[in-house]
Amino acid sequence: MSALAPPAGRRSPNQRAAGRGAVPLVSIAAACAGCALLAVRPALLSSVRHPTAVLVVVLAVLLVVGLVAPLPQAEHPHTPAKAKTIGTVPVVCVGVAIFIAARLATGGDTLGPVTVAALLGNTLAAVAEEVWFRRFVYGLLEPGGAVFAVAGSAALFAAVHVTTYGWWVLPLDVAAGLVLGWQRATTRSWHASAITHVVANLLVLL
Amino acid sequence: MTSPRSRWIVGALLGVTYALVLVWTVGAHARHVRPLYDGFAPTEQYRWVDPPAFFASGNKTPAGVTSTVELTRAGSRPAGIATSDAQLVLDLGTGAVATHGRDTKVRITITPVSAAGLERVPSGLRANGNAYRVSATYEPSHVPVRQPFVRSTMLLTVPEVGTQLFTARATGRGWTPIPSDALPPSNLSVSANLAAPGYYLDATRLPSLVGPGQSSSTSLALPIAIGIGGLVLVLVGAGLLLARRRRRQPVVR
Repeated sequence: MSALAPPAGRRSPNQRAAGRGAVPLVSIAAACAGCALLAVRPALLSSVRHPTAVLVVVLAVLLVVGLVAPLPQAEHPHTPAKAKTIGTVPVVCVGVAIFIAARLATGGDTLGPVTVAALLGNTLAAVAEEVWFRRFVYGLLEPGGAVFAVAGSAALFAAVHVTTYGWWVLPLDVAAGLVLGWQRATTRSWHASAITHVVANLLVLL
Repeated sequence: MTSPRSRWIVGALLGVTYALVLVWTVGAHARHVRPLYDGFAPTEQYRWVDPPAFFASGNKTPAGVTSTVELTRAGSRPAGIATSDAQLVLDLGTGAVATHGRDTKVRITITPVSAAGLERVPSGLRANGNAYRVSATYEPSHVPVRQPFVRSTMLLTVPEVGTQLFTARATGRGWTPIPSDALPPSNLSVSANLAAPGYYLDATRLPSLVGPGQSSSTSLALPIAIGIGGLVLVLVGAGLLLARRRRRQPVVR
């Protein structure tokens, strides 16, 4: 190691410049594997003896990987500096209002009885998916710009649900993914979309 | 509140209260609120020992049971023995099991078993759900009961409309048809006279089950997974190209 090299864990300005916008290969591989895993979820769960436990493990793995996986250094050249001034609370309120209105308008049957397991399961699924798609996948796509990241993460979010619910949900999930992606872009955080997603999932139980 | 007027008032108040609760419930919980929740629960799914792949998700292990029936000089006392999931119910009439020496009891055990591990049912039929082994031993001698039960019936729940109920001796080989009746309206319960200790299995002529795993988009899971993996690569690549193009553009101040 050269004496001029920066200490371990720190990067020189040149290294930072070179790394800016570069996407870690391990993260790309993880994104491919994770999205594929979500897509084959129905086949996986139907072939195991304890599908609930397996689903919890899958979601927990996605949650952890989505939180710790390295992301490219964000440049945000086209993101307005004032974007961060939009607070999480009003964005969450807008998202939640949209999903509440949708729930009231569509009605329909509930998924089942409101149990602790149902509440925890739906909450885990919502948070894990938001960490995965709005933190991890969004972060991987962000070098292409916020619009690209919102659209791309929404497309992937919808695509992985096709095997579970069928093709007919694709437009709806894309639209929902766009709303959640908008929340991610405006707050620069996955927290607002996670809260909204949790609420949306729990609304189906009522 | 003994006058007719006060009774009407109380009735009206209760009616108004019910209406207010109903309106509040509808407003708070969307439209689909039933006016009376009266003991209706989702249909219990058939419990498989060895479920087809598309029933594996959410399948619960079927229950077995062991019960002891007292013996008298006239034989066993009347008893009803059912698995906790009610997939097999035995009704033993008085004297269903004959007396045996100095034994005072008979132990009856119901065990659900996979039909796949037993001899196949006759050609043209296929197993309809689990097989059940009914065994009985005298106590305290532990001598197996071999003679047929008398004055006894069984009620077997099946996953599909059945065609023929079979029984086999303790070896699980040599299926013998026994007369049975499917109970309306669902015809998913089969009633028959209980024969001897041994195996019981229903069979059906219906075509083999084809679950959603084979017939819907689930069958496309692997190609879709590969496609989505490729889509991730394409999107990340496109994002990098966009980023590179953006960096090449001169910044206008």
